[in-house]
Amino acid sequence: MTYPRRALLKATASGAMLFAVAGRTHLLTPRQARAKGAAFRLLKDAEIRCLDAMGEALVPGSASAGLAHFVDAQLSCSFAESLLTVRYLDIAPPWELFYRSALAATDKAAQARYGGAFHTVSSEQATKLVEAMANNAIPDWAGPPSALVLFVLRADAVDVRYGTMAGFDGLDIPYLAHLEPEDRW
Amino acid sequence: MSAAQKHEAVDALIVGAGAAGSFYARLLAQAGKSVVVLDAGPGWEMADLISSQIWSRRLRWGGEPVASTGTHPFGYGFNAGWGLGGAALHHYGTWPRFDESDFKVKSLYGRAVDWPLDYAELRPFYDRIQEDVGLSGDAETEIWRPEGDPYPMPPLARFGQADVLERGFKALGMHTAPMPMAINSTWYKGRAPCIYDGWCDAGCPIGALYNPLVRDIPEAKRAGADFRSQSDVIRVLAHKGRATGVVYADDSRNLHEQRADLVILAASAVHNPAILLNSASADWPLGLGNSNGLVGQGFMTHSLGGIYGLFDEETDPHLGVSGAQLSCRDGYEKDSREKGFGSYQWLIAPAMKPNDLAGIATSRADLFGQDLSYFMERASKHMANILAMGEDLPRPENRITLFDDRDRHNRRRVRIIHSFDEDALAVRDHARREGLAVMEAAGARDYWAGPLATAHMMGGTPMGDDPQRSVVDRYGRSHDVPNLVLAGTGLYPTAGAVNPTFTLYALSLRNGEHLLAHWSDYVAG
Repeated sequence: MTYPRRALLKATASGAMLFAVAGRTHLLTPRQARAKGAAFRLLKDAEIRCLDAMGEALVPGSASAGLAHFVDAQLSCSFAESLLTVRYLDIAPPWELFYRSALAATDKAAQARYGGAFHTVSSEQATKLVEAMANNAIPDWAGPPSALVLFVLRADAVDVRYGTMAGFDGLDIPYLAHLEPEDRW
Repeated sequence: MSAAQKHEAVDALIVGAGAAGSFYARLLAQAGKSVVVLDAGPGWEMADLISSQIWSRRLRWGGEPVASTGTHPFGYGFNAGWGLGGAALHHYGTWPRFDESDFKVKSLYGRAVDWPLDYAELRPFYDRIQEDVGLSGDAETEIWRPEGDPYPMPPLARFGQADVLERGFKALGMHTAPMPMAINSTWYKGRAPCIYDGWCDAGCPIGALYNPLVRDIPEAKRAGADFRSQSDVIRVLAHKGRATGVVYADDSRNLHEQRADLVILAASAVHNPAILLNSASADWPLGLGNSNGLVGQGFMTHSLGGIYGLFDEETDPHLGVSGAQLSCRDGYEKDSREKGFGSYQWLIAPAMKPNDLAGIATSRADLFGQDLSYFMERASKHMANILAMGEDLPRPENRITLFDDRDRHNRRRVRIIHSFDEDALAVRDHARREGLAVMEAAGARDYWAGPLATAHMMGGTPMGDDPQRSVVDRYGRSHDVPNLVLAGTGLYPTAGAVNPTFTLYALSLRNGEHLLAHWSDYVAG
């Protein structure tokens, strides 16, 4: 299936991206992609679990809003097409390595403190780990600076949770688009 | 590497289709010159400006990565533009004039340098641009405004944020005035008025906020200018002391050679020096037009510090405009404080959306989990914010330079080095204390300060009368290469503490008309 460039751009702007479901390609929002079990392109199972768990710890509701599918799809884009906040932070692309090492370091830190990957720890343990990450205070942290990791993952989670038409609805504030996205994310 | 495809020579070749490049393109094409404009990014149209903070990221730099370094790195990824319209496509339309003192920092205070022109010389160009573009504001209320024609439109409407914040400024005996904005408050020359949805950062598709897609690019095209997007300039060609054209790559990495009688670099305060430095040759070992070695030095930005508050009353922070509803320049006198030389202004009540770098959630980056959920519910209706924008004097160590390693087009990679000096940091600290006092006086239930950030890029190829102390002359013409002109904010010898776009347009009108009036002198072989 092919899409005209401008239609694709507009659909992408509204949150819809190309996802593969049961071998066929569809334009879906990240939330829809998650609900339909769309295939991931880059992220591995452990990375997806860690990202969703970190998203929920930072911004409740972000995992079900499709955080992992959003990040996965945007990491698959070219630098110029990507919608990730990391684009603003003058971190050299490609960003796949940044995310992979960040998620691996998070799981490793959880393992060292609590004996399991991040998605297995309790909410109290997750909170303590996040607080330590915010202060760059995790011994043997083996990824990008942990406070930077938190900032980036939190921004992604805020995007899918609050930066959409559905997110505005949830806050009970009007979206007021000039050019309204075709989809409500 | 295959041979470059050669194109028919034109009168003027412009690199960069942002505010300055598009303006020059219209000016020259309407004067009958054959014009080609090359831009590295995509060919945006108004219909591409979707209302979304997430979408707006595609309007930012998407070319070869630029490294931003130093103690206070410049936020290139957020500030730069990408594609037709450049950074002006996502700029906020905040258009104050520079103060008279901004042009005379050396002669008035013994610091930095003077501009080679003063406010009086630029004033008629401010007035003409203002009438042409249409500005909304209230000149009489701006007690700090230098002489100039009144604004052609009344101020923009104001919302709850502005009301509560103005209360704080007034309680401290400070003045506020509607911020002058290049946004229509009424119908103006066929352009619609603002609907106050607060999506300026994503670009204004109805053209209420002036950007290059509104007029300069379409009118330049109608006059025959050829805009080529996805055209990434690799180097400026020169022969016997004159620029002869450029080599550029298209999006398939095919090389092209475009010759011209005149070359205008309008590729930003970062990429103008980068292109010159990457155009080094046996004749120009330090870079084209860089015989004195000053290209890239004196890069400047503005310090930016946000102060935020939560109020009992509803403030509608999502409404209004991204720039500011009100301004205050009571702190603009550069030497009025015991510590910290330099000006600052307050941008009062910019619209805030829930997400993005300037959004509500980022203002409390320390919150997460349920604490963040509660905060978002409250702040999305009760928040208000003010931004202190401070001066950054030119220093040679703040500069655009090149790494030794190369990109896919065999150019040396671009590096920005920037740190604020003690004066800039002291001004920022003063403003931070003042801003917190404003929030307290306004009755905020809770208030806090955000981190130090940067806004705008200026300098690096400054104007001046002395070829040993500047890169271009008082009209933006290279001291070294007579048919090479530079345009944009890179020409600013000093940066003041106000948004630079109005001055960019006024300067481009002045310099462009001088170019046309002396065309034969510029292009004479």
